[in-house]
Amino acid sequence: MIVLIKYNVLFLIIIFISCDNNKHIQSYRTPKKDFGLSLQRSEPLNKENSKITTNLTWDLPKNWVPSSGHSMRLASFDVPFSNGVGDLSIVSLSGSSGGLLANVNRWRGQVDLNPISESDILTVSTVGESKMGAFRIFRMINDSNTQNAIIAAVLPTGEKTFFIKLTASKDGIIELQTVFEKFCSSIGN
Amino acid sequence: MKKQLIKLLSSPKLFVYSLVWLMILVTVGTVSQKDIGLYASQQKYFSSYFFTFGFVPFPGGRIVLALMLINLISMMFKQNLWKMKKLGVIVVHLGGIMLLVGAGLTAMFSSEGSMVIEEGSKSNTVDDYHITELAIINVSNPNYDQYTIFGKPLFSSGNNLMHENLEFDITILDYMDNATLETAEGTSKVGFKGMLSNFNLVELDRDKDDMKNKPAIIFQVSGTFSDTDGIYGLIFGQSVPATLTINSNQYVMALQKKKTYLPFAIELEDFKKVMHPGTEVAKSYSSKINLIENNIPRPVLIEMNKPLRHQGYTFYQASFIESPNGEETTVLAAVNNYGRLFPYISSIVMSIGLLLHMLVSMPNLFKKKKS
Repeated sequence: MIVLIKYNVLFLIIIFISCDNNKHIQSYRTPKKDFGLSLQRSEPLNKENSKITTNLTWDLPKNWVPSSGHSMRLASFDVPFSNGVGDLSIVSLSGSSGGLLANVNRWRGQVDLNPISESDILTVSTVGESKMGAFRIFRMINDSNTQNAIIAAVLPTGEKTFFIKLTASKDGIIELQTVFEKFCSSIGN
Repeated sequence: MKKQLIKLLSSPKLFVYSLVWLMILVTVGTVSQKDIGLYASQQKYFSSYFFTFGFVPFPGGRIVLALMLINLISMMFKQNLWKMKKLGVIVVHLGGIMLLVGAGLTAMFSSEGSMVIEEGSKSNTVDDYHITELAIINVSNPNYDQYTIFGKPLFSSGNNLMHENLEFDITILDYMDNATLETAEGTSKVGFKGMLSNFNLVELDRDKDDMKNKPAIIFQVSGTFSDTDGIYGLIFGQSVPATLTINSNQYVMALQKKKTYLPFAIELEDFKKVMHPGTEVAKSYSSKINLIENNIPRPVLIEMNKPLRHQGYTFYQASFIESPNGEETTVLAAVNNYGRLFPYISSIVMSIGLLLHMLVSMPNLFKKKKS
């Protein structure tokens, strides 16, 4: 009897010491799920729906939701990220609309950053290529104001300048930068 | 030697020393919560076999409790215990063993996580609160997604991960409990792929609140002998999925909280919240759900103090999410604890044991008084 108990108890101890429910490698099948892969496809998405009165087109990421914006905006979108939703606006203004420096410094002021000089403006931006020509991207992040950050693209086309501006928290801007750049690159007419 | 070992393991002194060490652990663990947070403290002092203080290793909660269990069991083999007058002591020991077995079951097999369901939709997955896993999902088949999951214990630097489902090998380069993304301006990114070609993953101090930590992983993909080979990075909660295309197969890679798939589903029919009049403070939340098992729905109401218990799981109303357009989403806490009843049963057994011991000892007590 004692021997029987002894072996049972030993078996129990071995189970406790050697097993746990955290199987380190697993494999299983699940029904199909949408992983948002359409974001990464090169073909335009919702091209017909995204065509607006100015004849602009773009590849709209699937999880961006059109929103009601200011009357000056050509289009507005709610842009979700891990911890919130950013606000994207597309505005077109005639000519250079006050100059690049004035616009960049206005955005910098909105996130409590000091203005920059004309000589610095090229060093704080990167260049991208859209179907309508080259655009310049400015990222405005203030580490002491992490709730408000901006990434904006300026796309001059001669008669008009298009401003694509995304406002979100610092984490949001960092997370969404690649998608934003991809979106700007897809803009055409 | 064997006799000495059995003598040591069954010594009551070992139990007392273990109990004292447990008290020290509880004190140190409680104090350290202030600096490292509740979850990290629990993991370090109570859910570990050993922990180090500086360079010195000390026994953690699990090894101490295992020693106490072995000690109690060994005591049961003592010949002089198996006597009628010690019946109460035997029962108390059995109660103690039961309590420790329950603790073992809870430590090894329990899980807790959350189930997030939008109104009108259903879910059968529970996302663990703390445990992270690397999921490689082959999405090429039009009928299903094939998941290959690697658990966090495999994330040591230099570890090679392989699986028959995968057409490539993974070598772990780094794992961070908490990280953030920074743009890689001015940094050479040769060999880096996906998100890492534009960003750097930067390790941050672990937040005291484990839910705020965003784990990240950097790994090398090799064996495809194509441009796909390279260094990839993933961070928990990234909105843009990381993908690999090899031959005709497309893989999605994600660092996610451990997912448990339940044999039943929960559909949220309606979420209700009642606010205290004139305030934004919630008075009560409730979720009207359908518990769907074998395609048969059963209506259930989960309220703040009325959880749903089903198939070993307990679903509590934990929180809710309200979107700007008014859509409501319920957040249920799902707890699975096989050792849940052990503390209650063992307490009853120990009480009975103490009562028996008192009854058995009573005649001797009166005899002594008379003499």
